[in-house]
Amino acid sequence: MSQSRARYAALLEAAVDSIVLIDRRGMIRDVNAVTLRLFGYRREELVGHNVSILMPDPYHSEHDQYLARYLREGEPRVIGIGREVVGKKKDGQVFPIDLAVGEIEDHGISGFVGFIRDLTERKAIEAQLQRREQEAALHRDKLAHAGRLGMLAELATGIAHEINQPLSAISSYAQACRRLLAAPQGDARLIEETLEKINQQAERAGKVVQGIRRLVRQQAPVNVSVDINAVLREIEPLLAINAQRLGLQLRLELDPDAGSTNGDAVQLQQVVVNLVHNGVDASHAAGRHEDIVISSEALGEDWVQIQVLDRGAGVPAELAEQVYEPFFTSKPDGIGLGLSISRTIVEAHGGEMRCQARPDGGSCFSVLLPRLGSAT
Amino acid sequence: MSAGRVFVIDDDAAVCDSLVLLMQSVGLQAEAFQDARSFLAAGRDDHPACIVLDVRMPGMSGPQVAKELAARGQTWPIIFITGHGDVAMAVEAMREGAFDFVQKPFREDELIQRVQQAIAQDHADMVIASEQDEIRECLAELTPREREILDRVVEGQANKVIAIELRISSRTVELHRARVMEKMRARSLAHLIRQVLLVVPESERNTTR
Repeated sequence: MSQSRARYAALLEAAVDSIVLIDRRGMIRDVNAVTLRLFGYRREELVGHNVSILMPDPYHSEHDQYLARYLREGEPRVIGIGREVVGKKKDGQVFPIDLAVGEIEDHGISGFVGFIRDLTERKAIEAQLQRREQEAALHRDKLAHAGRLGMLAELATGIAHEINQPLSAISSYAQACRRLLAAPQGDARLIEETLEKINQQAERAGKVVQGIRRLVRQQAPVNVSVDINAVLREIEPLLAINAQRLGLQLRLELDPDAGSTNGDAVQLQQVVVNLVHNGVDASHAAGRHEDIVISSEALGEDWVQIQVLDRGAGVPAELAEQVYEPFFTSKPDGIGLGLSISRTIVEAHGGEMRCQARPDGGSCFSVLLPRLGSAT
Repeated sequence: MSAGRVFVIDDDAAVCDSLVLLMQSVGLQAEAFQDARSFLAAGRDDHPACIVLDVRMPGMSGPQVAKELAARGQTWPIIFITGHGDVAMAVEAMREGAFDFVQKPFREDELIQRVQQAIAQDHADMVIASEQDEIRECLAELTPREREILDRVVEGQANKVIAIELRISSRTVELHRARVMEKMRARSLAHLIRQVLLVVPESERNTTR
């Protein structure tokens, strides 16, 4: 055996890929050990046989024609380029492979050399990744839905209370009026005053209902121009109700040039509702009943920023990322979906969310959104 | 009852105001407090009264107010007003000795009835409390020997038994007993026994030795 022949054999066996040498008729002249392992054949079952034994149909029956056409017309299909095809094992199993074919003209062999890499594992990983991505997307949808429901339930409790108060007052006033009228020395002025109070309470209840109607009214189609300040002004009265229950006031600080962004107003309101709820809860828990500030600000031409500032315990730096994870919560009865959904929504709008500690305590949550040009 | 009072404690100004008017319309004196602290700061007079208390308020919750009042030895009957879904708070209020509950939205007639019952209850409690004070004063007048004989009488011992056990004459027992009846202003043996039962907890009463 010549030295070069020995070197060639050593090279063949050291290769990680399966290597198959065929002659111009497609007959296998040599294979390495990897090939035998990969396809499950013994050497004598391959050498001298048509290479198409390694291919499933339709390649199996068409390979001879490919080869003939190449030799006739010189038009390569796989030669010189790697491509993803399928191989067939001895036991009939078909599996994905990457195939690169080179032409050789040397040492008495005139033919082709195929480098075959098993893609089974890579394909499996890819499929798994794809499945995970799909599951994650599904999970996100579910979270968004659950979050909406959770927030609705939370809002509903607040709303029920807020409507119950004036209703309860109206009912008591009305009963008092009935008794005052029945009294022999009916005090007409007191009755009139009381009727006026009934009227005021009815209006109070009406305002709550209007707020809800604005909130749940037909959902805007995604991707319309949304006026940031209008979104904040619209949501503020309803949020104020909840804040006042805990003895907190809201303050709007709106930049008249805040402008608009492209997106879904209802979803963006959901983000603000969530941030303000968190801020109110945090400030209340910390016992610092200063105003919760909701601000808008144009950052240059291209960005608009919404900020919600509270005086709560703040977010420790090491938790700054964690707060966005689903089911992360610092509230005893929180479900920990609010910020995770909010971030999903903001990112879907091409924006980002940030959380910073405030110098005098509390947190500042910022929502950065792409700002539409003034032309639009 | 003429001088019945109602203290309405609710953080909602309109609810407070309307309840006060409602109570006034049935001839009760009513006073509103929009927060618990100002109510706790105000003093109490001798009129029978009750409290109508919102369970859910910022700052001190209804049950917390009840707890604080109990700690101060103030015993007005409390009627809690609960909103929807305040079950946990209602349970807590019950534990703090609620007289009753009404759930919002409530029927005014029912609330008024409950308030009147609560005031009647407070009145009865006050009558008993003043009676107890008098009885305690009388008890304090007894000598140790008189007190011992009183305890044995309440236990149901006959004069003869008391005489034998205390190694004194029946005549002496009778004399002590007459003095006890006089000092306690007891009209009869039954009245005497009732008085003792009103002020002396069972655990402190002498059992036959």
